[in-house]
Amino acid sequence: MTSDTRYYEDVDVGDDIGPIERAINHGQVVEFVKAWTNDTKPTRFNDPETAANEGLAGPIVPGVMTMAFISRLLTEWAPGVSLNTLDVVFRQLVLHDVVHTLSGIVTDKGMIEGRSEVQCDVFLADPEGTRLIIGKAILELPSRES
Amino acid sequence: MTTDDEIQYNRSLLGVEHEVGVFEVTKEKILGFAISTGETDPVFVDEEKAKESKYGGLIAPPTFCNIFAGDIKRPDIGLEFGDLGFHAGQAIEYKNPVRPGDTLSAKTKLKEVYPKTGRSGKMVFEVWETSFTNQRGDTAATVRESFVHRSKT
Repeated sequence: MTSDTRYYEDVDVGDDIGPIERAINHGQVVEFVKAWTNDTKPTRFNDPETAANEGLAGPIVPGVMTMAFISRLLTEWAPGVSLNTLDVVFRQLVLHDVVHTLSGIVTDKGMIEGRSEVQCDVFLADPEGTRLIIGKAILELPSRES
Repeated sequence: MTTDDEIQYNRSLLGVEHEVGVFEVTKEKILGFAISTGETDPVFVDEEKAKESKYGGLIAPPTFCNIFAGDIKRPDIGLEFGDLGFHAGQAIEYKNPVRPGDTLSAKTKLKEVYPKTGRSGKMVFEVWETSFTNQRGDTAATVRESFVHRSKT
């Protein structure tokens, strides 16, 4: 384990996760969509004109990409953690190049079938504090007793 | 209030598994996913350093299988409700590491269809669950996707 390992025993219910600020920029979304679909055809995700034609304020970040950023919030908080489950609700669209705040809070912890698990609520909010994505995650942290 | 019984759709699809494709995992796809989402952990972005990790090589970030779920062609359930559809939510359960060279077979099933009344009126949720199994027979991940249907007015 490295010096920045976060152990199960060090985590308490109510602990904050983050916050961290991230702007998912247009170039990142273009690269992500390319990895995803293997092509560069214009979509609501990568093309301002297509997004405008669909009545959107601008190109949007794919939901699955926002999940990857929420996953990073958790792995940055506890490097080396195993993310067992991430379950999110997409409440509103996430636009490119806007600085969003990712955060979480520990809601429960316990030993489940020998695994040292921590449950948490996670959020992605816009600059006004509106939660665009909410969710729950289950993490497995290393234990000093194992 | 719309009840379960009032929703018109093809109920014979409930719980029935459909084979919906085989997905090849390449190093390029893993790196494209990891780098575009700003991953810095060497196990996801550095092939050489990943060899020294407990995984013994490059692996995909935990939510990687989501991108394959987005490409799946599902059977039409014939839902007779609403004229707008949205991707309402998604859950991924990570089971085993995904590595370059893996071949993931996907099976999907209609998990549930249920009504709900929100601020924008009546809605119907359509929930699919897809499992990805690698060439060794291990489940890599299970992805649950929820789609909501509602009327424009």
